[in-house]
Amino acid sequence: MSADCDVAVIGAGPAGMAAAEEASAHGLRVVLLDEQPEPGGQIYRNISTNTHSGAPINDILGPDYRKGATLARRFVMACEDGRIDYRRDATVWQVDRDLTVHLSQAGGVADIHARRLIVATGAMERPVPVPGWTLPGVMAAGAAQIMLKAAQAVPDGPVAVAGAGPLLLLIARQLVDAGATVAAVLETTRASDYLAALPKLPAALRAHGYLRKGVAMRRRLRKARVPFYSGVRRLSVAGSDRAEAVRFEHRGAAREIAAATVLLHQGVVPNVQITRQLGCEHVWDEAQRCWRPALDDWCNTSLEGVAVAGDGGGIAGAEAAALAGRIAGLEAAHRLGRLSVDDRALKAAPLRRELAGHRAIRPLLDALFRPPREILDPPDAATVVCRCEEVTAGAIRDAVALGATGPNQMKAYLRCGMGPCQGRLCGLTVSEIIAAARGKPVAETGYYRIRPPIKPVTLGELAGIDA
Amino acid sequence: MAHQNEGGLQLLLGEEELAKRRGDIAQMRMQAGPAGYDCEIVGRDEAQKMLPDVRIGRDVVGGSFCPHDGHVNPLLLLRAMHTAIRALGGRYHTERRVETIRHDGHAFVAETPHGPISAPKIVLGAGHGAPRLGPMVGLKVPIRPQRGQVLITERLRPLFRIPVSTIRQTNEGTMQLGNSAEEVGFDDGTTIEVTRSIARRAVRTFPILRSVRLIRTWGCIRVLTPDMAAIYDESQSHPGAYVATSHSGVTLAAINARHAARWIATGEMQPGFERFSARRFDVQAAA
Repeated sequence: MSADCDVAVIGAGPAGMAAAEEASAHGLRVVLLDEQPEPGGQIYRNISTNTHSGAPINDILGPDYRKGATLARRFVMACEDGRIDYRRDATVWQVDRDLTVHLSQAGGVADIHARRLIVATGAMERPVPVPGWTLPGVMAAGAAQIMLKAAQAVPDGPVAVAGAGPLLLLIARQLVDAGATVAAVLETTRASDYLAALPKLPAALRAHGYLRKGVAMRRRLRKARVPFYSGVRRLSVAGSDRAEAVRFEHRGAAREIAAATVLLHQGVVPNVQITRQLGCEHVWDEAQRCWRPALDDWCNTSLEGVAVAGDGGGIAGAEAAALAGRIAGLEAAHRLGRLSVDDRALKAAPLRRELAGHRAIRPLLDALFRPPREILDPPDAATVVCRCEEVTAGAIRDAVALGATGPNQMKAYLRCGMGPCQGRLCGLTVSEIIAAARGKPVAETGYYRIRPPIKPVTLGELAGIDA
Repeated sequence: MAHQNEGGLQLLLGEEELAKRRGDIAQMRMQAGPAGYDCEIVGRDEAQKMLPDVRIGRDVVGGSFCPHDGHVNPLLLLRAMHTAIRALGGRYHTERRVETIRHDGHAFVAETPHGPISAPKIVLGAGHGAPRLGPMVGLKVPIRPQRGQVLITERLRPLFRIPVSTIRQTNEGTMQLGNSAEEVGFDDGTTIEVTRSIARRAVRTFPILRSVRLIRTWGCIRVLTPDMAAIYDESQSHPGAYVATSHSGVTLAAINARHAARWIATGEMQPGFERFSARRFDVQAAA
């Protein structure tokens, strides 16, 4: 099959933009496919419009967000120069092992055959299956942040923000600044987590910028008089047909705080749908409690020609993602004969040094914001785990007792993970529950086999019959 | 288990398919002889009357109706069988790959990485694992892999009053499309060419499906015998060792649970059951 391009990049977040730019700078024909109407990914969503408008939203989102503007500007310039064939509003729903990418765009379908593929599909929020999480009014905190970036909209108040992770405080701070009524910030991080994280501190000091930001965010929330609870347990959302309150235990006492919107967050995990669908090898990351594709130093997966750049290969943040994107771009240039081994090493060296700085903070963050057991393996039998098929934690444990040994058997028992989200929202939880119920490591329990399409496509589109 | 057994329809696109189906039915009638073969060709209008809740496409020229057809939800069937095995005192051991089978003079002994399991009788229902295990107890299991690809859609309102072959709706509302057949060994992947042609056929048959979202595709390996009929056999050299195999365990579930199980447990055989012995292939090979 003849190739339509040298490199196909999937995703226009920091990793994808940087990878496309780097590869095209070496004379490669690059196609970049992205679902959104504007480059930036989730982290820099709507970056060009927002920074161009100069609206107050830029101050609310903060300097880390604005950092994306430079990257986006360079990317857009490369597109305008015709060096990158940027296809916006394009949804990739299948990738074949011969590196043919199937996508839908404007109601039609197309396929692109590439010589190399760089998957830059980033992270997604870890599911937070607590009792009541399926009620209307409960949202992933990151989704609320996207609303802020894309539409400058804040959720209905009072808003409770609950969970753990570096993004939790950031989002709370951004909502306060954007005028939302934040009723409380509930942190599941416990004193023991801080103790566990202490040994990682010296390495993290190399990335002191991150630590300083954390302190500043806390100060801002305190100044705004947002009630702050640390070490909360037994989190749940109450309400008859929508969220009305958030309930939790704090220092041994049961508490309830009225909230019309509850934002849940337990950090982000790599979005591995494409690499899973391609059958690339994946490893269980014990520290980050998630799966990630096995990658070599040049971002290559186990499948020849397929690389992963950015958070899709392991969570390290936006700036690290852009650096990894450049490294993947250099590797593409090298493999396609545009860059010698020595030049590749020379150009990659400063990128690697910078990358090491960003990665230094990770062990601390991973230890500090490790999701609590009760989130990973919901103890309440009635908690819904698979939202598409309405499968509860109890039903999964019952199926284990009946003989189901892994997530794929669970599909046959309960239709778990067989709905429109393709297991994205339940996969991690299902593996954790099965592993715990069987007393086996998650690494041995495995994950769903992801089959195409990774995004829904209509039969008419697949058939090539116009809608 | 969402079992329904009030007949089923196969819809045919174009005159060529209609002629071929006519020929197939005539051949089945000839083979069945006096036992008869209840399957009738129905016209387009008649087919539409059997499916009053959904419009059939322009290209549908008619179909064939068999009053004995039915369907069952395979996932619920699987769960029902597991539940029944447990209720009847059976034990289900997971992760016990049988490495070898031998007879120690009293009973068969299946060796597994987690220790042996022994029983006076042993039944090979191991799918593609059976050809490896069979010879250890004097059984030949001539089966081959064949891939089928299937498409699953989002949930829809109930469209069919009777099941439609290759375009089936489960009780949950999802559509299950396709019955491709490829000789590709044990590769259980999917290919765009096949999934596309399945989608095309489905949309031509029922235009309403055009805007329906596809949720999942999968490839799976059938267990096929040379004549595509089941094998039920007892070993001559190792009496008490049996094999039961063929595509599909779901379609044949009732036969397996009733006739085959009774035969294995008591020796009592349904008339004609002996014809399913794998020895029928030796005769063919000799001839």
